[in-house]
Amino acid sequence: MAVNERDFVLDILTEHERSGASVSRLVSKALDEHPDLPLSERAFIKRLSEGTVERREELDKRIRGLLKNPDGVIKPRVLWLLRMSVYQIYYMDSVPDHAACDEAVRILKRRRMLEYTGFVNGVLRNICRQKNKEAAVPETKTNDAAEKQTVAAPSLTVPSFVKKMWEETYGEEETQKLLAAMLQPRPVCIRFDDRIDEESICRTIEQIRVLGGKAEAGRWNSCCWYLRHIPAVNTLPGFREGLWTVQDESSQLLGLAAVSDDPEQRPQLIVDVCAAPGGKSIHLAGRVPEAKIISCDISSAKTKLIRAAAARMHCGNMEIREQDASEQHAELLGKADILLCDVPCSGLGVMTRKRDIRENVSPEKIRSLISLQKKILRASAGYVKPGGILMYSTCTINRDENEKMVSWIRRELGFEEEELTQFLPEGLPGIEKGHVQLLPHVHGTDGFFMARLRKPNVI
Amino acid sequence: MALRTIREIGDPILEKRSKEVKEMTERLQELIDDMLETMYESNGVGLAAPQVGILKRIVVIDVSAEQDDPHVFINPEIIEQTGEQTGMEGCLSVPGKMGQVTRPAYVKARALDRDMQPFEIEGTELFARAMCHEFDHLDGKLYVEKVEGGLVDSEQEIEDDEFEEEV
Repeated sequence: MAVNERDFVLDILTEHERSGASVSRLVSKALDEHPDLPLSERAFIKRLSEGTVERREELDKRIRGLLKNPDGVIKPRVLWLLRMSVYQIYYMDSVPDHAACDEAVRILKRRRMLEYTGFVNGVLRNICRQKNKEAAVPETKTNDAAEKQTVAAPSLTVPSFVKKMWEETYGEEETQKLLAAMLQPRPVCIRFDDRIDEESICRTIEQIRVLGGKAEAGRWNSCCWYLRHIPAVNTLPGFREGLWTVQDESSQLLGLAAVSDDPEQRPQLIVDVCAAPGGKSIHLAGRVPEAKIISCDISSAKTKLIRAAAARMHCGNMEIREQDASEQHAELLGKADILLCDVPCSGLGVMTRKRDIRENVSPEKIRSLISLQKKILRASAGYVKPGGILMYSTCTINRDENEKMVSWIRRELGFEEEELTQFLPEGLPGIEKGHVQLLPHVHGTDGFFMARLRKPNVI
Repeated sequence: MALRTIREIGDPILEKRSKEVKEMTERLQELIDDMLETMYESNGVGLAAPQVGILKRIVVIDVSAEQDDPHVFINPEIIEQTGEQTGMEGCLSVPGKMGQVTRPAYVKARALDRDMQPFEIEGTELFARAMCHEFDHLDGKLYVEKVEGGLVDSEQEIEDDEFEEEV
């Protein structure tokens, strides 16, 4: 074998710690440098690297718990090797326990780190034993608090100020559920274009299943499907043809909330001021083919993304513009039936997908984002026609950026919340008049917030 | 048909009482057509004749989403009103601003149509609000006198340092 995928992972992890570069970026870089790697190995490298960093704290607890001197210093490279091996033992069903141990020892031998083979092998064998013991203990027997802690569902590690904020909003128990849900591996969520008929959808899903993919219908939107065990999405049936696109179900719901099925209420012009990568614009372009969609974003890199996606999804009714949402463009004033403001946000609802967010978020950063959000809203609110709609959305779970921003829009911009229940699927929990906070543990989606606000008529 | 210029707040004509229409004329028919066209063009749902500088008791309203349900009111009067609704409204004569106004929840009005035939009509929600708002224009009144909590400005950009406030 030319390259060993575990060697890649170990290098990525040590480099991540040394340079502070994000794991996902290092993974992409490594994969780009080896385009010949088969898909299954690419997926393995990605999952193992990201998963190990994701669960670092928990893995450390397991490792240190077995050491005679739990606080002893371990060489970083050795510690990362232990972590990634423990991750395989606990979280990768495809890797037999003994294989994880053997591979770790082999890596040490290849790297001439023979003095650590005994230590690593010993720790990992103990981990395997520990895991089997845990599996044998029925959960009901755990009365003792300390024991409970080892069996408690692992959850995503987030900055303490975020956890505290959530506990204040949702309580400790809900926050625990939220964190646990965020750690669940997320399937790829796709949305079929509104113009695609039921039969073509079924046929495409069938073809994906034939390839070995698992496909499950979305929970809320009938055009939504969840895919697991699939190769790269751009190789799947229907992708190149533009039958479907990747978009989280939460963001799909925004499309439903923006335009009802009522033929009397068809918008003619929709403006999306922060459109990249284009998911929401493209959804609406397919949903209202007779409308025009003006999709803007700040850089050519971003508009290029939108343009490519729009072309693939056959959205001839989109006009893509490179413009800054925080600046007002006078020619759009009073023109839009619907304005989408999917503002830059702290991204706390998608930390699972975007690990960098978790490492870089801070209260200061959130404060400056809130300023930017208000600036964008101020600059863009005038684009809405009298009687038109502003859809405000974020991919975060933070009252300051969400519920409080809705109050600010009402107070400062004079918009009024419009009841969302009539637009969203029946039974969707959490709707409060014109806004809803979607939560991973409640809705099964990313954390996402949306509000539907109407600009008063002029009479 | 032609677009007419909308008079804006500060123009004394908006403060005057309009006069009853005694008989329908060709010119008034033309005025009504122009008022409808001006209203649709400005994305408004209602317009009163004094807003285009004519002191006649004529109002046009269309609150339908498709803008295909125009109502013409000549010499209108409210004959019944009940309840309350509080919400934001804006006015073509007060551009870029809006404010919260409390209006009756239900309004019944009597007026003449453009053939000078009497009719009665009822409205709730936006239609009731629009009738009250437009009929006020005929008495030289603007909604800004009725605004609760100040006017809101939504089309103006503001300077960066104003964003430092807490939400």
